[in-house]
Amino acid sequence: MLKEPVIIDTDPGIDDFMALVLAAKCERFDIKALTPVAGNQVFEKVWRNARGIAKLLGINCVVTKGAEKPLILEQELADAVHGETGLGKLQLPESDAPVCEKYAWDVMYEEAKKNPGKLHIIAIGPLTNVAIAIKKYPDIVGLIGKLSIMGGSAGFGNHSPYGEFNIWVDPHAAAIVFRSGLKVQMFGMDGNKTCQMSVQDFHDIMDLDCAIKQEMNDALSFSIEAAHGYGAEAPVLHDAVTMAGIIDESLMEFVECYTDVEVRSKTCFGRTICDVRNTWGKQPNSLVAVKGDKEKFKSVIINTLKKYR
Amino acid sequence: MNRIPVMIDCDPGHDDAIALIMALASDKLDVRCITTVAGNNTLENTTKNCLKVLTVLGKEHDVPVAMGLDHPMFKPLRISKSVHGESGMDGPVVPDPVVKPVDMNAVQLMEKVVRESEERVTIVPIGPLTNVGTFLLANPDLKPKIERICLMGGSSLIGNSGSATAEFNIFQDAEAANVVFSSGIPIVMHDIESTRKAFVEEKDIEELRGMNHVGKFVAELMDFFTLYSKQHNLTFSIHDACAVSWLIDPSIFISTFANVTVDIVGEKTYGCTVTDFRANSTLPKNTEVVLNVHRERFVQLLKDCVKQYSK
Repeated sequence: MLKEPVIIDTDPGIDDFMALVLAAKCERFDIKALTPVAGNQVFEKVWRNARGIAKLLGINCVVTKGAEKPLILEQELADAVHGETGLGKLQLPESDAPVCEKYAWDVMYEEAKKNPGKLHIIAIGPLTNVAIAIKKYPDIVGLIGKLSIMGGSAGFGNHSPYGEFNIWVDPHAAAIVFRSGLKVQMFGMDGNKTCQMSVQDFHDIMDLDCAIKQEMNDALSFSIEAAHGYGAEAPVLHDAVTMAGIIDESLMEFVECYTDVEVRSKTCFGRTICDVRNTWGKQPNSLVAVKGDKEKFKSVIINTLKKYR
Repeated sequence: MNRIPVMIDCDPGHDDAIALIMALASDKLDVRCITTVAGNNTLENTTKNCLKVLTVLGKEHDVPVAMGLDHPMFKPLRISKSVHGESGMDGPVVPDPVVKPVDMNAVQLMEKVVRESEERVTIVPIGPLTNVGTFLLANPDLKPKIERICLMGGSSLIGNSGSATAEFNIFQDAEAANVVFSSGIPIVMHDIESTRKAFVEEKDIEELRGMNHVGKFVAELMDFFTLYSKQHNLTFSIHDACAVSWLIDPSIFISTFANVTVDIVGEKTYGCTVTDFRANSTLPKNTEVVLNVHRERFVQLLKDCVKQYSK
């Protein structure tokens, strides 16, 4: 079977870690690069995390340099959710892989040119790297096969009334991506929330015997505690839901619509406006995940963990 | 004396053309590349106009030209045909250029020039800052190799772009301008208030016309460019030429240092280069703001540059 060339743009991040756990064992993927981006934590940390995760999970690809801050705004961290290192209590091995000096956007373009119409970019952090790729290489839009993102919301947000964190931190980058002409598969708050697992579900996963059981427990137990801290029963593993929805394409239902990003309003800053009623009369540029199947999500995780022997 | 290595990013444009003529005449400057951007007109037209200028000067094989971005970062392009005409450089009749831009885009060419340069390079943006902003975002490691950014654009008080507060180049792409002004690279800002003071008179235009073929070209550019100025009772200012002139001879200009940020959210002030002249301001003075021009010396420099083409 011809594998799908994939680049994962990520800001690990506990749920990024879980997403990478799923991606690493997906037989369909040929992971060409991890492209870290400043987001949940400062660049230095997410870069080191990405390298450590690649080593732990045996993902054999380059880990590039990337954007150290949003395009225009200053960086805001999600350290309350992901902790000091970005990965809760998880201790990663120090990577001994040679340092890749290339930038995320240059590698995205290289791979897109090598695999015209085939490359799948899965972006689960702020969209800064992807936006720079689009601005530096406008022709990349015609070369990318598919772009899936974790970010945004057709309804309410998690960082402001309507703002979802990944979009809210760098709304300018998100605006560039949604206005680029690419069709964006958007896994936002709406569908992801329907895949919120219970504490019992988490324990089913954490109790499963596998080679990364300890690491999973260190990461997820922090995440559950943090969720209790902000008044939720259990966390939504946004990035992992996204990856699972890509791996099992029957997991999510989508609505096709035109989506744009508010970059000026004080109150609605960073809001993705998904024009599901087509009041603007524009050609759809997005497939917005609206409803998922939590049991399928859980199965993807469990079936994947069984492969870590 | 070592020449200053420069990269000119432009959207010709009558005053852009004159800026290019001066830069390529001066032995103070080493023009490493010219990149074009959508602004005064479409990217296609600004590129064509740029190549026309080089062809008139007989320098079309001397400097690489690359095409940049065809619209601002966050909005569609709005061009101003009232000032520069249909083609973006109406007036002189010049045959279509034979030479083509290089086979890489503006951002890639800038990157190549800076990477290959042993000295630090000065960027001279005289159009919207879309290319330069993108170049800075895509090459954070090259920032220390940029000597300064000497640009035409901005307005600390009175705009000229259909906005009361913003100047055209910044208003076209305020987000890109914001990236440039917050880059940490030293900036020289020739804002519209100062460049209005860099004007020629009818007699100067006639003197240039009689000088040589380039002077005739300049005069024909001015014949069209001054129509708008006459209609609106403005001086015959050659805005973009200021940025180039400063690099050739900074003593022609009077300036001061201030903090400048670019507004990107205001309903009335989008694109305003917010210039903090308060004596007690504690913000970093990231910009050398040009306040005034020794007009006669500026005009003399223009004439001296055009004379170079008689040789």
